[in-house]
Amino acid sequence: MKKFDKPVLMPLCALGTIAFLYVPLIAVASFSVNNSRFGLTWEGFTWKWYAALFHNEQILEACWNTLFLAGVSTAIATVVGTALAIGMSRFPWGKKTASFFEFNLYMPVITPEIVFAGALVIAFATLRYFSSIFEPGMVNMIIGHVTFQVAFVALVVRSRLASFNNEIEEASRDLYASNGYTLRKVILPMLTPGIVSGAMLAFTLSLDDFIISFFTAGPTSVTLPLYIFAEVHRGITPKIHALSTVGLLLTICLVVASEKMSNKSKEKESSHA
Amino acid sequence: MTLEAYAISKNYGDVQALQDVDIRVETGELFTLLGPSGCGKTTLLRIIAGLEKADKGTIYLNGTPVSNIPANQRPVNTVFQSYALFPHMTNADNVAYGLRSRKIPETEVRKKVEAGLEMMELSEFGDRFPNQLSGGQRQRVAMARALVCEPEVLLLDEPMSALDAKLRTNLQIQLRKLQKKIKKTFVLVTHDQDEALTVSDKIAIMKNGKVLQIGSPREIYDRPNCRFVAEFIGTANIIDARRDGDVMTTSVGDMILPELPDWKDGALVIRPEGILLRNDKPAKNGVQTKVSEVYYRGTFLDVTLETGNLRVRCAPHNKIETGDSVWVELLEDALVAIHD
Repeated sequence: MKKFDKPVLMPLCALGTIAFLYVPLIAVASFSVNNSRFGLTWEGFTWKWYAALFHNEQILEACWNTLFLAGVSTAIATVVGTALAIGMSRFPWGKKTASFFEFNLYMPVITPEIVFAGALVIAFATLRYFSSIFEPGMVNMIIGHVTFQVAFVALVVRSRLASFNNEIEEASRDLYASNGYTLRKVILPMLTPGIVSGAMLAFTLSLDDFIISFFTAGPTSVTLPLYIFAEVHRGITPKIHALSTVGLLLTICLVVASEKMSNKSKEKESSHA
Repeated sequence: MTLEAYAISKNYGDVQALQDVDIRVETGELFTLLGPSGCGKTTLLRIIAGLEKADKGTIYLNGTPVSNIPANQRPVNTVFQSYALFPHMTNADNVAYGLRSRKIPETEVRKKVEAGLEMMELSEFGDRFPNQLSGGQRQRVAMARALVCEPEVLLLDEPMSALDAKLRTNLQIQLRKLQKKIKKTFVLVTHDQDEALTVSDKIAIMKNGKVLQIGSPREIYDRPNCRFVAEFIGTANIIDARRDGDVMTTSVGDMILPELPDWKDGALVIRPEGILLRNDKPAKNGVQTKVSEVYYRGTFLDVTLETGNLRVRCAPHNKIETGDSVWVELLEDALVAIHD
């Protein structure tokens, strides 16, 4: 029995879980530099699939669409979501109203995306009676993405708001500041880490969103997830692997950056009781 | 600037935080609101600051009602219990906040901030952030931030409660000196009776949203007007008493007072310092008893007597031991009649 003295099972489980999570990703990354069109066999290292990416007009356009969509929708959702969070926590709503808002905030988070997407299709179909702006395409996609991003931004910003006490704002008022001055000089600067991480979350959610995009896109607004989905129908090529790898690396960079940022701000306030 | 709170009432749901509270603070006075937590003292302070609205009653500054003037337009500044420093600003920017928010020219702001930091002995910390300071230093930044605005009334909400005992005693004396120097009206909220006695010109004792007694520290300590005040401040011997002709009949014997109360049944309060140990029977208010407990407390002996569990304080060189038979005199002038 002696050899079971050291905990072996738990580390093994942990390693197994990590492998389970990362082996597929590593496989994709290695196939993206494999000099073989179809096979699962290693036929030497190559960058050519990456080079091919940058010569493919469709992919470049999809990239541009994805980034444009994510950028614009994130910008809108960040402003609206932050305003929503501040409004919800700082206005003296009644108890019932407050919990109603709270419930509504969580709805987009917990509603199955496919239901949400279906609802958007109906909503846009109705709106199309009034204006042709709501033809399937970029505008619809931006609106669709904003609808689910807002909730995430608001939730992140709200948790940040809850972490600093009311006395800070009262101190500002006590020191002759108007509400606008307090918002500009105290609330927003202190919320910045929350706003940035909310925005980053919204951005990544938009980047890899498929369902909402699928239901709202038009012929000229194909995003990367939509493009990959269409391509995969014709069989997975190493080009797709290369594209996925680029996407993965970008995501990692975003996550690391946001992590660093929130750590920094935590450090700054850790000793501030 | 005089400050007056007239008939202030405030409810939170079913809880009466303040009930018809009246106080009057003279210019240049350090006025303390003292009471246990939940007595409404902080609520009253917040109403004076304009951070909270009273349900009833009016706040007057120099005789002018200010109840409808919002917090950011009252000539009143607050030092918050948590200090509420802005963590994303340097200490100098914190101190400058109340000046910049009123668009005071930057050259003047700099001058005032420098003077404010210097007054609080913080000159070298201006460029640092609040989280790089100790608790006591942060408290001084909060003081400087409020004082550079040159408020007519400075409100302090338990400014020392987060500091350790030694530092607190030190800061109490500094606070008192500072207040004497700048001659402004200060209102201090505290639950610490030592702090209140040390720094105040006047103290209001509060309980359950009511003011029980207002007076100088000496009046409050020597002449409590009710059981709660007597027990809340310092140590008190409270003896049930009944007026019987010219004397007060009590469980420890008959007592003579300089002035008889107008009630029949009540109690007498006497501080431990008001009871003297005697070798022989005193002329009046004498009690013969045995010593039941003696504690050596360094600067004094804390003696408890068998009769009425009276507590007495005497000089530490007295040779008293448990079981000794003694005479004590309850000094006539130290006896206070209370009725509640």
